[in-house]
Amino acid sequence: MPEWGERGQAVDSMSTETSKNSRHPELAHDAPEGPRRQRIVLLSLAVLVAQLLVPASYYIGERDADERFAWRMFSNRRAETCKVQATERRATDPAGASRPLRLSGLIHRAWIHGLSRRRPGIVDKFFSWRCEEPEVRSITLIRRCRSATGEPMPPDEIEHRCERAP
Amino acid sequence: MTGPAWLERALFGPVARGRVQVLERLVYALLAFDLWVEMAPHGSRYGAGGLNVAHFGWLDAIQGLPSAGTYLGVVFASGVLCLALAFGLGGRLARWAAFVLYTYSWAMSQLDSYQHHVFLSIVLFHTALIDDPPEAGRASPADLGCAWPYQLLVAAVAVVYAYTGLSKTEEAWLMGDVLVRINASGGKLEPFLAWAQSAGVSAERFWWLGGHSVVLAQWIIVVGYLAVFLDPARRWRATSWLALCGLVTALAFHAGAEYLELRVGWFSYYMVLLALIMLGPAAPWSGLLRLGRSLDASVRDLLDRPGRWASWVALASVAVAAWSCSELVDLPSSAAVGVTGALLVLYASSRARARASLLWIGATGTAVIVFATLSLTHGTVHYDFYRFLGGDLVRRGHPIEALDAYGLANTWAPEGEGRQAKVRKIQSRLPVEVR
Repeated sequence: MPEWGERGQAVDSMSTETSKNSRHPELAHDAPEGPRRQRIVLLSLAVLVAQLLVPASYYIGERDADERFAWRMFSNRRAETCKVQATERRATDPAGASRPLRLSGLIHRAWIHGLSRRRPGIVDKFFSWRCEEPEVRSITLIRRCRSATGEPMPPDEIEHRCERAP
Repeated sequence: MTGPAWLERALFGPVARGRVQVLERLVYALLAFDLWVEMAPHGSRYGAGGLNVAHFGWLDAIQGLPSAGTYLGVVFASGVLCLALAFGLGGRLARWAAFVLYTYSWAMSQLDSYQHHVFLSIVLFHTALIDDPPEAGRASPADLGCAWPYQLLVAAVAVVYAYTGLSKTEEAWLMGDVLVRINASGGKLEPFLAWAQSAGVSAERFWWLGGHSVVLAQWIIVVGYLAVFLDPARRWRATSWLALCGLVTALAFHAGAEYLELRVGWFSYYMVLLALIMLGPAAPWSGLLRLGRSLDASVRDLLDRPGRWASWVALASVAVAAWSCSELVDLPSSAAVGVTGALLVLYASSRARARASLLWIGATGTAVIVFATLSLTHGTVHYDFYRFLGGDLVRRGHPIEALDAYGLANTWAPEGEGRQAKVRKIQSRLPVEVR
C-alpha cells in the first residue's frame, strides 16, 4: 500500500526536532506549549462537547419536528408528505364558526412547508403573527400526512387562542 | 494542567501543511460561488408577506424583518470575503467576518433551513481559528506542523456523519421505506432494482439492503475520520487503511446522492473535497500548494514594480470594478459587492508592509469583484431571482408587481426559457385599463 499519510515524513521531521516538544515525541515540532496549549485544549473540549450535545438534545429532549441542528438529513420524518390547512375565527364570526385561510395568499410557500412539517418555531410565530390582527380570535392548523411508506397518518390539529380571546 | 494524552496527540500531532492550506483555500473558493450562484436566487422570499422566523429567538428580537436586500447584501459581502480569502487576501479579521456574515445569512431566517449551511458555518469557524500561513520561504509546503483547528474540524466531520448514521437507524430507513420514497420522485434506483430482481433478490430485500447499506456507509466514513483525528501522523498502518476505506465509501456515498439528484445544493462537492483532503494522501495537496505558491510568487513578482502611480492605479481599478458591478448587477444590494471589496482592499493596504504589495492587493480585490459580477450576470441568478419573486407575488395576489418581476426575469432569461406565457396569463386576468 502506498504511503498515504504523514507517517514517514513525521518521523524524519521529528528526529531533527529536539526542542520544546521533546517530551512528547508524537507531537508536531511547533505544537504550542504552556498556558496556550491548555487554552487550546479547553477550547477544543468545549467545541467537541458542544458539537456532541447540540444534536443529542434532539434525542434526549422531546422528540419533535425540529431537526435543524440534529444532522438528520433525509430522515424518515422528512420523508413524510404533509398538507396543511388553516382556519381562523374572528370577533365578528358567530360562536363556533371559523373561516378558512388561504395560506398561499398570505405567506411565502416556504413557510407553508414549515407549517406542514409542524416546525415549532414557525408554528408559534405564525400564530402570534396572525394574532396581531385585531379581529382574529383563534387559529387552527390541520395537518394531513402520509408516512414514508405512503400510509395515511392520523390527522393532526393545533388550535391557538389569541390572548385577547374571551 | 494538560489534556488527556489522546487528545493532545490528536490536536497537536503533525499534519501536512498542504492539507490545511489547500482545504482552506478551496472551501473558501467553492463557498464564494455557492453563495452567488446557489443562494442569491432565493433572496426574493425574504420579507415576503411580512412574516419571518429567525433560527434563534434573540435574533428575531434584534433584527426586525429581513428583506431581500438584507439577505442579498449579506450573501454578496460574504462571497467577496470568501473569494478574497481563497486568493490569500484578508487575514484573520476577514476570516471571522466571513464566518459571522455567512452564519447570519442562514440564521436570519428559517426560510433557509438547510443543515449543510449550518455545517459550513462550523467549517468557517474552524478555518477562522487557523493561524495565518507562514511567509513564503519560511516553510516548504511539504512541512508538517501543528494544525489543531484542522484536526478539530476532522472531528466535527466525524460527528456529523455519526449523527447522520444514527438518524438512519430508525426503522423506516433500515427497512428501506425512505429509499422507496426517494426513488419515487425520479425512479433512479429502478435499474438496480431490476438487476437485483433478475438475480433473484426480492424487491423487499433490495430496499432492506439499501437502507442498511446507507447506515453502514455512514459508519465506515465515521471510522475513517476518527482514525485520522486520533492519529494525525498516520503512524499506525491501520489508520491509512481505515482512511482509505472511509475515502472510497465517502466518494461512493456522495456520488450516489448526486446520482439520485437529492436537493442538497453543493453539499456533496464540499463533502467530497473534505474527504479527498482529510482522508486521502497528502502528496497531491502538498504538490498543489507548491504550485499555488509558485504561481502566487510569479504574480507578485510581476506586480512588484511600484511605479509612482502603481498604488493609485490599483485603488482606481477596484473603484471602477465596484462601480461596474453595481451597474451590471440588477439585484437588491448589489453595491455590497463593491463596497465589501473596496473596504477589504483598504484594510489590506493599511496592513501591507511593502508599498509594492499594494498593486497585488488592488489586483486581487479587482479580480474578486470581477468574478462576483460574472457569477451574478452569467447564468441564471437574475432569471431565477425574478421568476421566484414573480411566482410568489402572483400567489399572494399582487399581479401588477408580479408583471414587473416577470418582465425582469424575461430580460435575463436564458435562451429558450422565459415567463412570457405567465405574463400573458396574468395580463388576461387584469382589467383592460391596467394591462
